[in-house]
Amino acid sequence: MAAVIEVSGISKSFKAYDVVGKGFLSSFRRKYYSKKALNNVSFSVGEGELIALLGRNGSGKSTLIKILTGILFPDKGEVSVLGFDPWNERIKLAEHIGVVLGAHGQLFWDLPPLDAFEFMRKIYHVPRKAYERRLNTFLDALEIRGIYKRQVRTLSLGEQMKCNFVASVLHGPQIVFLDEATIGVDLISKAMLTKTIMEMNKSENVTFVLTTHIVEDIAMAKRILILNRGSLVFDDRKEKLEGLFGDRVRIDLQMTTDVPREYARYGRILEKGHNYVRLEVSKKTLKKPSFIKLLSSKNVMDYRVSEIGLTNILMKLYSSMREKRGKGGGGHV
Amino acid sequence: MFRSVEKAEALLAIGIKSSLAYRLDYLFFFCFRIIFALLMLFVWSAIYFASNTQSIAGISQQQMYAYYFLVGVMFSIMTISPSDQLQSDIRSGGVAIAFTRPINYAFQLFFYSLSVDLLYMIISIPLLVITAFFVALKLSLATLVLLAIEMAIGYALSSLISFMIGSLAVYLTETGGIMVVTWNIALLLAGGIMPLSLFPPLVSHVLLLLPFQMFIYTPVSTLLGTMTSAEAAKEIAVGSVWAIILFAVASLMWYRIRKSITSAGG
Amino acid sequence: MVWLLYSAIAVINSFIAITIIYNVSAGISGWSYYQMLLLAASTNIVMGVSAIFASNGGWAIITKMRSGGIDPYLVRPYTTLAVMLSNFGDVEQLSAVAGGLIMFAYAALNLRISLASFLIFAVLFSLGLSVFVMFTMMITIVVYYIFKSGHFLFELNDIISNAGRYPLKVYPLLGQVVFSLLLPIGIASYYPSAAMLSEASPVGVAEVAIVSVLLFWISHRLFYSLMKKYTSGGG
Repeated sequence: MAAVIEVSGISKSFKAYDVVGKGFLSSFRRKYYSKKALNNVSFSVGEGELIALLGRNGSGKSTLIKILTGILFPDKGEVSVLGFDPWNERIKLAEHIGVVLGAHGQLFWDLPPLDAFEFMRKIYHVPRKAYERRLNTFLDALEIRGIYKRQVRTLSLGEQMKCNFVASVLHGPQIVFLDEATIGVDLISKAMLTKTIMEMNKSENVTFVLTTHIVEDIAMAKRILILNRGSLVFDDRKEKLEGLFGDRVRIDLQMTTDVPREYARYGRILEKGHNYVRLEVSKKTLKKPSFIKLLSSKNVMDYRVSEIGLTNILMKLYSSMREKRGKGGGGHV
Repeated sequence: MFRSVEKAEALLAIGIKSSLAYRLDYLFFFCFRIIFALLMLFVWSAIYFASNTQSIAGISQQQMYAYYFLVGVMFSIMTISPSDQLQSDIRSGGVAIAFTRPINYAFQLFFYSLSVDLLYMIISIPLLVITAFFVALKLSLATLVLLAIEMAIGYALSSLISFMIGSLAVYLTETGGIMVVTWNIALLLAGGIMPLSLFPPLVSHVLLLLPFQMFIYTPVSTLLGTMTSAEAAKEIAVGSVWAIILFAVASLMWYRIRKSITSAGG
Repeated sequence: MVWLLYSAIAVINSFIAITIIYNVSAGISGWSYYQMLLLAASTNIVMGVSAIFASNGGWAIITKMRSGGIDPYLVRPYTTLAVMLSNFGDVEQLSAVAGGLIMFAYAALNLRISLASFLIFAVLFSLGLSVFVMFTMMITIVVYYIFKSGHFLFELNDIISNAGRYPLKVYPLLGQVVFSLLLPIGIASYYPSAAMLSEASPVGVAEVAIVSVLLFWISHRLFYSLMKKYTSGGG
């Protein structure tokens, strides 16, 4: 698989400030500092890949996307997207990529999405027939045929998002970057977008890079990159991430009496209430005869075993990175 | 070349469509230019009456009235659109969206701003016609050609100044105040408050060497016939030199600040 | 830096315009150079104070209202008028007010103004200023409901500012009525200045004061009455 994105050792810092003091005088006193948004990040993306770029707020996801698309200039390192230098060859690169930033970036607030589609057709020089064919496909796939001639300001967030997506990909890009593109969007609209993205990835071999901190959006990705405080801490298949803490399961127990203390021996108590406990145990523990005997006791009214979801895996990951930082460590997982 | 023309045409079209969502603003612009001219008509009537004269600094009463109506026509050249748009894009992060398109950002800014201002220029034409009718302006072909050149240079100059001020939004939180201040100064120096010929001779001479005279005073004087073709040609030359200088400065500013543009979020 | 420029501009344009007029002509009958400067300064102060509460004549307010942006302010524990006055202005205009005060002081020092006349001016000017600020709020809401155009307010503000620099008597009767009762820059600036400079009679002063109070009341009522129809925005 040929690499369409190659990133080598990029770093980027921003100047920011904290106000000093309190009250009226704090408006005049500032303490400036340099915030490192990206720190020596390297990776490559092959053609047709669908990758999710995760990270907490402020981890550097948007900064990375903006460097890849030529909006920002890295302080250090090298970037190549489809063989172009994004900063120096921005306009040439722009003709081959689509970028979705926010809900309505490419749309014009006082005009219908159709006007934005026409505008994009002209600036990307999309032949009329190809444009109409693609537009019709998207109008049906995303169910926006009834709204694409209405003023953008009258559309809901989900409708704006879908139309913005269409505007960004009408020209048939080879790579599509989506930066937190589904924040606040309803479930149905999100599902339609996901389906359309996966269809484009499969049938047109379009490479997708989506940044998100919403776990549900990760489902369509096969490969995950995780940024933490500007550093790339994870770059591997999704299954590998699930396997990090995947040897553990969650067990919810409903008892007829108060929860006996001995349960704490088998795992970590996540939640405890009146006649109820939620435990996190290893899969090995589930097979232990002594544990099975406990579960079979007459005090146990009901129990349920479930896998630890990706949300919790990520929370554990962030938590472990925080702990490592506290101990003076913190690096690649 | 053809692709650039197509992109320019697309930008103009979308800009005009967006602007027409606020059609009434253009009507208001037209009405208020007339109201302003009428206000100044009454003020100068009182001044001429009190002075008991038909001519003040070589300007007749009728010429003075016509001057302010024509100021209203030329007002459309003084654009703040590039500054407004640039500041808005930088503050909202919209500059990021613009950078994802296969068009040079300055090119986008200029043509989108032109589309907004073009409508103001079009709405000013009836005002020119009304003034020409009432004041019996002699609009020869040569006058109109000179006028077109002067207005084009004037618009280019005001766009460049507006762009340069808007660029400061990278370093300053708010440039709206600077824009208002600059435009108020420009209005005075352009002859928008009163004809430059009323200023003391030395001051008037200096003002005619600045770029602002191309916004209002020179085109209006050309229309009124108070400036000869030779004088107009000289002012066009002055304006052209300023256009080259300001273009170079604006290009350098943009090259330097482009790397500093940051967008919200990480 | 911008603060200084604002005050410089407030002074420069009016000062230069009036100075040039009085250099090349006899000016306006019945008004000396310093009297004209004083009048222009009063208008600058009124426009500056108004802009402190509603920048660009209310453009910011209309823009916010169109997008439902005033909703978070309307849930705060103070009156709607207080919300509008305190959140959408331009504090930098303080320097425009300062510039106006400097020009006022310069003109007043060159005129013989008695203390009694100045006190009359102070009372009428304070009343007139309140009327003008209330008018600005009211007209913003009126324009919002009629055509939602911030541009209209911006232009209107400009016209009022230009008209207020010169004595109302230069305009025909219709203009005098418009700039006194409908766009009350005359009430705020011209009549107080004229009362001070020409030593108006008590009856004349009382008339201006009563009209000021009446105009304030009308604007206040209209403001609240129209705010009941606010429909927010967004979705």
